[in-house]
Parts: sequence; structure tokens; C-alpha cells
Amino acid sequence: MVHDTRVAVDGLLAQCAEYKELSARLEHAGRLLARAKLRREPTDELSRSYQHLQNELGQLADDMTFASPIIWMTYKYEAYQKEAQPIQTMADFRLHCSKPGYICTKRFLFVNSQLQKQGLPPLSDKATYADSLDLGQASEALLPLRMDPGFMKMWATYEFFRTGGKVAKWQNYLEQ
Amino acid sequence: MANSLVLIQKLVLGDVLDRYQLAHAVFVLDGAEADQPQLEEYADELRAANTVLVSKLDLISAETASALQDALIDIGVKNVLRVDNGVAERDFLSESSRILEFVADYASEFRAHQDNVNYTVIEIEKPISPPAQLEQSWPQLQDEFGLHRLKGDFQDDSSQVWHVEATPSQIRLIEGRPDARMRIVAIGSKARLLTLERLMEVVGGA
Repeated sequence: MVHDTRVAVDGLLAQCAEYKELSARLEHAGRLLARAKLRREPTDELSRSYQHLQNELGQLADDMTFASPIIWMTYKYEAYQKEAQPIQTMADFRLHCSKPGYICTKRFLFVNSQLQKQGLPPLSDKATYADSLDLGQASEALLPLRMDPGFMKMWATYEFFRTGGKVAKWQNYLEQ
Repeated sequence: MANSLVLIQKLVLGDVLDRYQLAHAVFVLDGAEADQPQLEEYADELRAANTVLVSKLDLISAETASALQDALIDIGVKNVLRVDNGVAERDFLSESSRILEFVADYASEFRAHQDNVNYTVIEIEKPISPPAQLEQSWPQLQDEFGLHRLKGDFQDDSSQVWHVEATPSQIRLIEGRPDARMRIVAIGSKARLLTLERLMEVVGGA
């Protein structure tokens, strides 16, 4: 299971690097397109290139899924290490998962509700998971959930949800 | 209006300007906070704006205000108007905008001002009393956590709600709304290291 997690996280980190590269290319393409529009120059080719990059980026974002909450947490911990806003501690993680309606907020709420159903403290419990606790250590708390086939089935129902043939991750999750 | 050039690009790409006209571009510059590095960082946006409104000049000396005006001229900013106690002439708004031409001719990359944003949101679950302790701690919070903004609400021992807003050179405490959510947003290079516990330690030791 540890090996599987490592392989999955490494794959996601590679996708993340690709995402950043594509984002930079999209930004540049946007610059060129906007300037051409303002100058009233032909935009057909620039528009196609911009749209293509947008589609590629959207497809990549759709492909980035977390097969388990441990993979999710480990990825967040590793992918954001060099960002201006790293996710290294429980305080960082709780902040990241606090935006209303945000997909990670839904994952966080779902994990917490399931931990509580198993009689375990939720990740929001600061007495158990102090603000300064390293997120790498905190992911062990999710092992009981990972071992629970019922939980994993529900997680997959939300994480891999599609509607109308389109990826719609966690759109079927209703916050309690 | 902070990253106006990026905003213009988004409006153009979204075809918003096909339906709406951009009337005027105003850059409001906080005269009490502006320094040379900041002027250099925002030089393009300042030049792109039709008008730069300089506020809070009553908080700085006449010499500093004059130096600021000179610094703006040095970086190529032309239309500078002062705001006195929040009041400015409105005639300038009738001029048509030229910011679109500026963006169309802009050759270099846009400023990516959000690269170093680091923030935190702290739920203030304990009273801060007396409130002035937060005011006294502001310089230490800036030093220790690299903060340049602090904004939010908290209660004191008597359940009075206070609203705080702080910038590098100013901090203001006023009575807050009773229904305000007790939390403070902090922005700065190491803001994420500021937890409730650390905040209470710093404020307690003020």
C-alpha cells in the first residue's frame, strides 16, 4: 500500500509540473491574443492556439485525481513545498481546506465525518492534531479509513464522479 | 487597482470590452505607505493609469509628499491628483481612458505580483485584552512574520468587538460589529507561521 501511494503521488507530481508548464504557455498565449485583439489584428490562429492550451489544461486538471485520502494529503504536502504558500503543517492544511465550496474543503469535511463515525478524532481537532504538527506525520491518521472498503467505495464515488460525460469531481457531495 | 494590466488582459480575452466601455483608469496610491521600491514595482500600472490619486498625504510631512510627487514624475507618471481627507475633484473622470492603448503597446511580461503571497486566517477563539496590546505588538509581528497586512475582528475581555486594520506604517483599531466573525487575516512573507498560539504569545508579551 505504501508503494502504491508513492507511485500515485509521483505520478501526480509529474502532472503538477506539466500543469505549471502548460499554465505558463497559456498565460503567454493569452498575452499575444489580447494584444492582437486590442490592435485589431487577425486572431484566428492565436485563438486556436489559446483554446487548444485551455483544453489541454482542463483535461490535465480532470485527470489529476486522488485514489485515496492518503494520496491526497501526501500530494498536497509534497507538491506545495516550494510554493509561496506551502502546506507543511496541520494549520496549513486546515487553511487550504477552509474555502467554502472548494473541492478540498469537501474532501476534508468528508474525511472528518468518516473519522468521527469510526470513533476517531477529526482532522479539525486541534487537541489531537496541533497546528504545528507536520502534515507528513498526520497522514497516518487516515490509515483506518484507507483500510475500510466501505469508506474507499464512497471516496471513489465522489472523487471519480462524472455527469453528462464530463468529469465532475465531488459535485455530488453535499456538505452536511 | 493593483494588477491592472493583467485585469485588462482578462477583460479583453473574455470579450467583455466588446460590450462595455472602459471609461477611466485610476490608481489610488497610499501616500503614507508608498516608498521607492513600491513605486518601482508598480511603475507600469502607475504609468498605465489615466490618473494617480495620492491619498493620506495628511499623514506625512510636506517634504515627504513633495519627494513622492517628484519620484512619480521620475518614473513617468503624469496625471497625479491629491486626495485630501478622502475628497478629490471628479473632473478628471470625464477624460477617456488610454489604458487599452498602453496594454496594446506593452512589450514585456506583466508583473506577477502574487508570487510571494503568503497568508493565514486565524480564528480568534480567545479575547485579546486590552485591545491596544495588538497595536503595540504590530511592529514585532511585522519583524517576526514579515507581515504587511492585518485585518479582522476580535473580542476583548468584556466581549466588546474590535476591528483591526494594519499596514506597514499604520494600525487602526475601531469598534467592530457585534455580528462580525472573530478572525484575523494576516498577509506577509511568513504569515503562515502565525498561529493563534503564537499570536497570543506575542500579544501577551507586548
